[in-house]
Amino acid sequence: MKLDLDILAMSRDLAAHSAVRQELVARNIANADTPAYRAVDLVDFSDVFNSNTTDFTLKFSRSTHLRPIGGLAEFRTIESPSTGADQPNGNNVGLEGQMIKSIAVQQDHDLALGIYRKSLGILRLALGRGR
Amino acid sequence: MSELSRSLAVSASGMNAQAARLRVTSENIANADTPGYHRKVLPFVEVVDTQSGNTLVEPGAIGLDPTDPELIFDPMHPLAGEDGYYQGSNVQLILEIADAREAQRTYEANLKMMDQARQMNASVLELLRR
Repeated sequence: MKLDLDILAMSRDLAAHSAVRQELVARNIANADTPAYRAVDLVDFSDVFNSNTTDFTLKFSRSTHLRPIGGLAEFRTIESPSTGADQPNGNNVGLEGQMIKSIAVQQDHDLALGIYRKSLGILRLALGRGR
Repeated sequence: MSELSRSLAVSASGMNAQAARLRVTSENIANADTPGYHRKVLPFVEVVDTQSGNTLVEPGAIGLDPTDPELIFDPMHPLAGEDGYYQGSNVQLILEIADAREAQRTYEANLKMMDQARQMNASVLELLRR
């Protein structure tokens, strides 16, 4: 018997996506005053979901080699669109926008973990162990 | 190293950089009346930690503001020239206060991100506990 647990995989991917995105938001905020820093973001989850079948990942032969920004190659990092917060020193991080983004990230993460927990509960119920 | 612990490291480096900036600002304020003092400026740079592949932010090399110092008229001052003027500092207090306030705000934002990463980590661990 093969269990098709797509929903678990999807919620895991969403949780991983929001974790990577959280890291990027943290990086943007840490660099809020770095000259010439451009804010980064991830491609939306709905755009990467089901489309990461072709995976052109770089091979790392040594652990000291530089990694692509974001660490995970499966989620593409993009420069976030300008929010009009450009500073004279070339930095375009707007703290307010990043705060809003961080809340969205946390909601996504909570949603993913909630779905994961619920699915596990249903599975457990189906196995007759109750909750 | 998971994304969330990388995020903690990034936030920590950001807080560290803002703290260094606040230190430079308070040095400037403390020397606001030192004759010939040029205010220090601290740019931030983005660095890649080769061990973890993580990009952190660090305080760069301290530079001096090249603006001309304020000329103060005080013929009794030991440093005063023949015309009775001596060079004060080029520190503008209002600028330093604004800078300190901005450093504080960004520090708080970094702290918030650190707290959020911690919360997200905790809710993942909560799954294991069941």
